[in-house]
Amino acid sequence: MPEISLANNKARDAAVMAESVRFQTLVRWIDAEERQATSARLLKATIDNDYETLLKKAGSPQAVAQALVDGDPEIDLESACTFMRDSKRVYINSDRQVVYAVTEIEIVRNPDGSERMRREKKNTLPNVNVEKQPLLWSGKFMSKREVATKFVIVSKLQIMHINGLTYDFLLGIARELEQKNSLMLVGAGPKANQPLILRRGSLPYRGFLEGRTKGDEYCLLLHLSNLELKAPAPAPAGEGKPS
Amino acid sequence: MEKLKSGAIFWFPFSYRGGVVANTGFMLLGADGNIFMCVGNPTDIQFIGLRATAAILPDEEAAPAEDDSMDFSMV
Repeated sequence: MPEISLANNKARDAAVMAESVRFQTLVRWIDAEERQATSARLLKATIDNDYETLLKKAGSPQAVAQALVDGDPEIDLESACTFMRDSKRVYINSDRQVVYAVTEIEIVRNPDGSERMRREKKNTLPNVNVEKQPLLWSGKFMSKREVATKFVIVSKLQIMHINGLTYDFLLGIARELEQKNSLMLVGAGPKANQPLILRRGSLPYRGFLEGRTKGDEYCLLLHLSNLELKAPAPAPAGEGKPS
Repeated sequence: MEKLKSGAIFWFPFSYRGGVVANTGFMLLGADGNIFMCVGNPTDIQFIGLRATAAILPDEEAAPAEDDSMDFSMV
């Protein structure tokens, strides 16, 4: 995860690490020989063997069915079930050719799922790293209950020190937040009011910083949300009903 | 409902598809007065002392954020 630049309430900033938290492993999957089972990605078929290509060759769905009965045209024995590693996603056009200049369109939807607008997707750049302005101390505190009932927390990062100096720095922040028994709104930019973009092209998030301490140990969590806990407004009478 | 209004959040195992491991469901009263159920997974968070520094790794920015690995609990 990224190195982020964080400031405390005295406007002193430091570069620290934001690490992903792990899910608790409750069940471990093993094979018949008690070896750890892991996910693997296998190639099912290439574009030369998929239905559209077979249809084009055969001429009709019935002919494709007959070809499948007669042989295995959908399987390329050289490539089928090979392990896929270091693969990249490519885009193809209607002629099934790889395209290189793609314009991505973002569809903005209303809370009820209907489309509000389409716009060219912006290539967002991260705004939390040390090259940018540090994440300033916003001083905007919200109770845990308020955050829990207004926002959907979709992810969280644990803020960690990288040396002795940053340990003291983060322990101090965690202590202060714990004393306030609140989460602090974290935003990017000079006014700490812009959404956090952690990686290039990633979703913007609101950040809520929570601090806990236990003796000389601390736990500093950055809760991330891009969704308000809000039910969509009811549709006007008659709308959405079959005509 | 009275407990929800007083700020209680109920949690329970929740499994939409079935399987071995359930997610955790939370039922709470939202600020807009509606009842919501949020679904999540417990995470391992740890208190950190002076000696436990973070590993300084290069940013994984270049890595594609595609996570379609198989979930064995769906088997």
